[in-house]
Formats: sequence, C-alpha cells, structure tokens
Amino acid sequence: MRYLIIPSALAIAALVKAQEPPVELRGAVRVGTKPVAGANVFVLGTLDGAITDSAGAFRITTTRQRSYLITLRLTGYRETRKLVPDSARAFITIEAERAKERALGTVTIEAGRYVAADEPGATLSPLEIVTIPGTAANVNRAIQTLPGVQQVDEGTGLFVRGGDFTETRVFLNDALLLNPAQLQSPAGTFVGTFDPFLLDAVYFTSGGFGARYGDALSAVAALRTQARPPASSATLSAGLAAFAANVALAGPSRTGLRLTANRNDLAPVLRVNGSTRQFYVAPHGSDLTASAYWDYRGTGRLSVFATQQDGSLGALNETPSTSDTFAVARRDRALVVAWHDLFGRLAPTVTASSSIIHKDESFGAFQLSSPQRLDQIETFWEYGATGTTTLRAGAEASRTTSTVAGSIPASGDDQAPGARVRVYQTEGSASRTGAFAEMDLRPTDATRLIAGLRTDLSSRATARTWDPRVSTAWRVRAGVTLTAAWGVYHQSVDPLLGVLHDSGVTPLASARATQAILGAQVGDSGVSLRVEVYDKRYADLAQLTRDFTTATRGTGTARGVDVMAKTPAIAGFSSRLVYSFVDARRTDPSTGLTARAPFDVTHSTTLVCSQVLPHQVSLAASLRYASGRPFTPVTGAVLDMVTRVYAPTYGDPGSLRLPAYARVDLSASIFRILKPGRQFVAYVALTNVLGRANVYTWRYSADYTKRYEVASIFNRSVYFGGVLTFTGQR
Amino acid sequence: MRHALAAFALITAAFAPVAAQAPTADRLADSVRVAIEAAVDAGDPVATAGAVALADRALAAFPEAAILLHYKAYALYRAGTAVLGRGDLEQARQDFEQARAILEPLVRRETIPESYALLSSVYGMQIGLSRVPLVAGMQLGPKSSTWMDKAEAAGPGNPRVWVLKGIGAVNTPGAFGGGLDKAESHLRHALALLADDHPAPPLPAWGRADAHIWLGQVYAKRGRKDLARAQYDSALALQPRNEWITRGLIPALEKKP
Repeated sequence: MRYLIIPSALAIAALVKAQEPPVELRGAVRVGTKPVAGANVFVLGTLDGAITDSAGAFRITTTRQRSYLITLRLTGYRETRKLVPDSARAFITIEAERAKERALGTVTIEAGRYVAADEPGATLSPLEIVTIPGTAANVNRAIQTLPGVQQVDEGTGLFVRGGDFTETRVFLNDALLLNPAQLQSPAGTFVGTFDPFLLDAVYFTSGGFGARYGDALSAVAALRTQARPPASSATLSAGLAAFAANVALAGPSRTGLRLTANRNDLAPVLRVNGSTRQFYVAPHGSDLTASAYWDYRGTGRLSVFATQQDGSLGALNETPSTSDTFAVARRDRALVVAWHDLFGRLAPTVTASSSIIHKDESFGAFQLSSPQRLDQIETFWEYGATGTTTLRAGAEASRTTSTVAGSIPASGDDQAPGARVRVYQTEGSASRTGAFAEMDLRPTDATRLIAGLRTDLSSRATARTWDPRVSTAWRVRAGVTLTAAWGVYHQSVDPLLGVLHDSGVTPLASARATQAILGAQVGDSGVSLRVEVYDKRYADLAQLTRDFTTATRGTGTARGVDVMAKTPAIAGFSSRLVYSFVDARRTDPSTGLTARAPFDVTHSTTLVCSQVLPHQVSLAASLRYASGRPFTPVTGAVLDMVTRVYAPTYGDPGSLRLPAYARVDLSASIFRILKPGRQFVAYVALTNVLGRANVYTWRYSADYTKRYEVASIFNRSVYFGGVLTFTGQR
Repeated sequence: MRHALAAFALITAAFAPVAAQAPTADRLADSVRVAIEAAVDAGDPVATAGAVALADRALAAFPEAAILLHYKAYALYRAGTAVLGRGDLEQARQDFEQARAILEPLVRRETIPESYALLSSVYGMQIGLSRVPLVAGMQLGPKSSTWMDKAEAAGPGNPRVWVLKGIGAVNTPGAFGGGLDKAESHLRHALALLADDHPAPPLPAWGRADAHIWLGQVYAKRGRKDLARAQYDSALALQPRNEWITRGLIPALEKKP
C-alpha cells in the first residue's frame, strides 16, 4: 500500500509541474559594451527563443526548469552557451564572441589521399569514377587514373609510386582483402576488384597513410559499400559482354537488402573487335553479391556484405621453350560483417571478415593450385575528445591459411611440359595481430596534425614491427594548403613467396618502407592543382626470381612527383590532368644487383575530359600515356644438349625499356526518364580509338635470336550497352 | 529484494511521463514544419525568417538530424522567395546561398526526396538572381538538372518534387529543358498526386497551394485569364491570408488585357 501511494504522489507532482505557469527569461547580448542585434537566443532542447532587438535585448517565454542552457547563434559569431539557474534568471547577460575568421571549414586534405565520394573535399564523385572512358566500370582501373599509380600493364593491379601491386592493400568496409603474389601474368596483372556501382566511396591513399592501416607497404584503397537503400529499386543492365541484375529493397524498421548478379563473357567482344591474342576459352565469369543492412537506431548500423566472383580463361601463350594454353580459373569470396555506432563522442566499429581466393593455373610444366584464406576481426574506436582533438585506437587479429600444391618449373627458361620441376604440397597458416593508436589534432581551423603508432606481430615474420606515422596539413590561406607526411610501413611476406623460399619453414622479415611526402594544393573546389613529391626507401623485400624462387633482403628506393590539375565544370565541360614521375630502383632478385624496378614507369599521364550536353547526353574522353616499363634483355643463348632447350644469357637487369604506352578512349551516354520511377541509360565506349598496338612484352624465338612484340589484348574496340532502372516510392 | 524492485518501479514510473515528453528531432521538426507552413500561408517574410530561427534552435540540439537540416534549408528557401517578392535581392541571395550550403552536404547523406528537389530549385533561384545569369546557368544548370533527376528517381510519386520541378520549368527557357507545356504537365501531375498525399509527421506536407499558384501563372503567361484566376482562387481557398496572391498575382492578372 505504501508503494502505491508513492507513485501516485509522483504522478501528481509531475502533473503539477506540467501545469506550472511559464516563466520569462530576459536579458541582453553584447560584445563588450555594444549590443548585438538579430541574434537567435534560445533555450537549448526547445524551440523557445527570441531574436535580439536593436538594443541586444531578448525575452523568452518557456516552461520553468531548475536551470536553462541559454544558447546564442548568429552568423559571424561563435555559438555561445550559458547555463542559467532558475534563481538567476532575472536578467541574463550573454557576451558574444566574434568568429575569428571566415568560416572556411576545417582543413580536410591529407598527404597522398584522394577521395572518390559524394562528400566535401572529394577529388572525384562516384559518378566520375564509373564514367572514366577505358575503365570498363572497374574500380581498380578507375583508381589507376589517380596520381601516383603507374601504368605498368593493362591489368587491374595497382602499382603505386614505384611499388609492386602486392604492396597496395585493399580494404572493404575496413576489412583487409587478399592480394596474393602472381607467378604468371601473360595478359597483365589481374587482381580481384569490385563493380563500382556496389560502392559509395573510394578512399585511395598513394602513401603516407595513417596508423590505422597495417600490413600495407605502399598504398591503401579503402572501399566503402553502398548504404541501406532509401527506396526499393531494380536495375537491369546488358552490354556486349555482360548481363547484370541488381535489386535494392528498402525493408521495414530501417532494414535494407541489396542483391546483385552479374554474368560476363568476353566472347562477343572478341568476335566483334578481334584480338591480338588467341583465346581458346574467352575470359568469362560471374559475380554474386548480397548485402543486408539494419540501421537499428539513428547512429547505429549493422551490415553484412557477401560476394563471390568466379572467372576463367584459356589463351595461347608462347615462350621460347613452349607454346601452350595458359589456363586460369579463379574464385574469390568475401564476407564482411560490420557494426558501427555512435555513443556521445565515442564511435566504435567492429568488423569481422573472411576472404578466400582459390586460383588454379596451368601452363606447360607449370601446374599450380594456390588457395588462400584470410579470417580477420578488427575493432576501431574513435573518440572526439574535444572539438579539435580526436583520438583513435584499434586492434586486429587475423589468420591466413594457404596451400601451395602443384609443380613449378625449376627454371623459368624451360617451362615445357616434361621440364624439370619442383613439386609442392604444402599447407600452412599464419597469424597476425596488430594494434594502433592515433591522435588527430586540429589546433586551428587551418592546421591539422595526425600522429600515430602501430605495432604488428606476424607468426611468419622474424620480429614484432613498430611503425610511427605522422601527417600534417596547413592551410596557409584560403585555397592554399601545404601537406607533409612521414612514416614507417611494414608488410608481411606473401605466403606463396615464403613457400618458394624454403617451403615456408623459416620466418622472413617483414618488408619495410619508410615514406616521406611533401605536398601542396591550390584551390579547394573548382580549379585545383595538387603537387606531391615523395621519397620511399625499401628494406627486407622478398621478391620472385625468374626461376620462381624467392630472394630476400632486397632493398630499393622510389622518388617522384605526382601532379593533379582539375578544372571546374563550366558549361558542362570538366577536365582533369594527372601526371606522375617516378624513379624506382630496387634489388634485382635474379642477380642481386640494384637496377630499375620492373614497375619504374618514369612518366605516366592521364587526361580525362567530359562534356554534359543538353537532353542528358554525356561525352567523355581519356588519354593515357606512359613510358615503357623496364625489362631485362636476352643477349645470347646456349643450347642445353640434354633438354634441347636454349638457356638464355641475360643483359643488365632492367637496362632496356618497352616502347611507350598510349591510348585514347571515348565514351558517350544518354540518360532518359521513361516515366516516373523508370530510367534508362544507354552508352557506347570506344577503346583505343587510334588502334595503337601497345607492346605488353617481348617474346623470343626458341633460340633467342629473334624478338617479337606481344601486343596488349585489344586494338581498337567498341562496347555498348544499356541500364534500365525501376525505382519505387520511398 | 522486494524493496529494491519496488523502488526501481517507482523511479521508472516517476520518469516515464518526463521521458515521453522529451523533445526529439522529429517532434521539433514537426513544430518547425508547422511554423514554416504558417509563415508561407501568411506570405509573411518576418514570420518566414522566424521559422529559420526556429529550425536553427532545433538544430542546436540535434545538429546531425537530416530532417531538421532539410527544414532549415526549406525555411531559408521560403525566406529567400519571400524577400525576393519584396525586391530585396541581396537578402534573397544570402538566403539561397545559406540554403545551398546546408543542402549540398545533406544530399550526400540519406535524406528525403524533397531535399534533392529543393537543392535543384535553389540552384535555379541562384541562376535567376545571378548578376551574370548566362555564366551561372552554365555552371549551375547541369547541377540543377542532375539533382532534380535524382529527386524524381528517389521519389517518383512525391508531389512536392513535381511542384518544384514544375516551378523550375516555368522559370527555365524551353531551349534549356523548361517551358510552359512541361510546367503545366508537371504541376498537373503534382496536383493529381496531392489528391492522395498524406505524409506522416514530420515529413513535408506542403504543395497544394503552390501547385495552384504556379499553374495559375502558367495560364496567366498564356493569356488564359479565366483559368489562371480559377487556379489563384483555389490557392486562395487554401491560403486565404497569402498576400502574394491577393496583392500580387490577382491584381497583376486583372491588369492584363
């Protein structure tokens, strides 16, 4: 009974409180002795407020509280808050403070970082990245048009600032994806990549990235998948070589689902356009992707992203020792579960992921199956300590399981069926743990300093690594920002290279790079020019020799300049020019000599122009030019009387270059709203318009007396298709 | 233990009514919405500016709430058009610039289709108010068109998107994708959609009077005074205090030959 009386009393008290007469808060806003007119003064958390009059005075009618958090807002002044107890509400004086400088926003530029997203400060929009001619709507190819990426071949590998493609790590929703070494690449360096329409942002950092990213030596591409669909929609797309269906379902209670299925087959493209290569099995494959979202509250999100990509091809590959079909079948799978929320100033993220690459390759005596699996869990915490200081910390644990099974020629010079081989049947696993802490300081709106420390321990490595990293930016004046970054980066040795070294028995030192970057950007939006110079020093590199063994303790340097100039869209026309210069040298794994790195492409230039015409017609053109990459020439050959195969004599490593690479691509598209909720895009793309036969590599005759050019896969080619989208009402 | 449970129940019971009345972003947004609609109904620039201040107060408590950001931008858009009607071009430019500064980041997040259409309209107003409209049109025209397309794709059945699209077509020459025929079609489509439009608070619910007002202007430009007057009367029935209709549009129509 006692307990029944108490709640009744409380309820009555609450009712009485609700019926209390309103109170009036009076006061004035001043700067020194001068009144401030037109200021918005109000009780925070309510709409109760007033605009100050010419004398700076205000009167606010509100409900009685123990205290009132009086807030002042006025353009040109800092927001001011004052806690006023009810007992002191007779007359409230608020001292306004003028804003120190014109609001330009805080500096967001970071050394080496390029953003393709719909967000302030982004280098490119997602639309721009999918419409670059010649990229075949492929994220990696689009990233290749950003500063610092060398045009080494026509594959999808990212060779950044004089580094190998394996040094660029790709993170999907913070989960590290596998990027294994490749022993054979007769048609270019192809790595797993994503349909850009699955993504809503690409953060590419060509160097100087923060402590958050571990096990990455040169560069990082952080991909963020699309968010929960705000409305249901369906997209059907068909092109000369692909058919895809995409469904986005906006579910109840802020849930959502995206499903994508894609089937591709290059056979029609090869039939229409021809090819410099002879394909027995045209490149073909399929992708299946599903993602589910639950925004369980305003700031909380749980998402699951799963994808499976299959691909295979069979093409004639000719080497001095044999002509055979190079056949490859690859299956990539990835599952990423991510949770993110915001509690006050604390933003935690937890990501668990599993990715698998299963690749089977065969060519002559080369028969290799090399599946890899990476399971990983990562947590990342961000705390906004003050308005100018953000603290970040995180930890991760991963386990890599890899199998190497098959036969690999004992000498790269003799790959014919029946040649002497090394046989592998190894299975191993390695674990890695890592942790980092980072402080992001913005002492003023014009300055920023990010300093962090990272540590990693891999069971494949000889020792724990410690990586200090620092990055700073200073906006000297409106539109002019200087940047600098320095850091130490480590990456554990690829499991396949470990096996080729000594069957993975001995731990190998993680490769190390020390990066220093200085940069400047003029212009924040509209016309902008960005220049960065860098110096990168490598140590403990593990590299593949031409006899498919691993040489360790390699060293190297890469120095260069990256330039990006961008013009604003005027009359629908926009353009950007990217130029990269690099001088990269490293230990030649086959001789131990220091020589030009195989990816030392001195000059790389990309010009992309687009024009939006009336009636939703868009035209775009791109021009790519790159110096030829270095190669080691053959200077002679001796016939091995036992194997009847010529053994070549090599010249100085990297002493010659392939001819320069150049390509012009065009594309056009038209967008139409057929009727409300139904849209159509038709497009046509012309690749290598000038029909230039770019040289991918040299091929030698069996006795090495003749050298032939091996051209890249396509001459001039055409591709066309259309996309039909159905959108439901929100 | 029994005592502890009873005490917990008491505390819960005592705070429940308070929690139920705690302001939420949606609740404040709905109050701001009502204030904007009242100001627009009255055609009162001072009240419209007051609605901007209200939105600002709500945003001080919920700075990231997309619906509040939308309403602040919408209030600024309405404030800009209100002062524009009184010839204060400089204030109108400032209001539209502020609305743009809010909407450009907002449309990169999840928001309602009206935000896209509103940004398109703000660009349109900025083109019209530019000192060099040709250059502004070249810079902002494609953006305006893109965001209106996005609005239509995100909310094909949203009548306010079609109202803003219709208004845009009235103010855009035919050579650039506008024109009176398109405007009439869009506004009639909006009116058809509005017949069955019942958005839940705090979502925007305006549009009927605007559709009639702008359809009336389409007819007025074509010299169809009777049709124009009928549309103005329909708008007046919805907004009897709207001085733009009573003191601006109807007298202007009556002066036409």
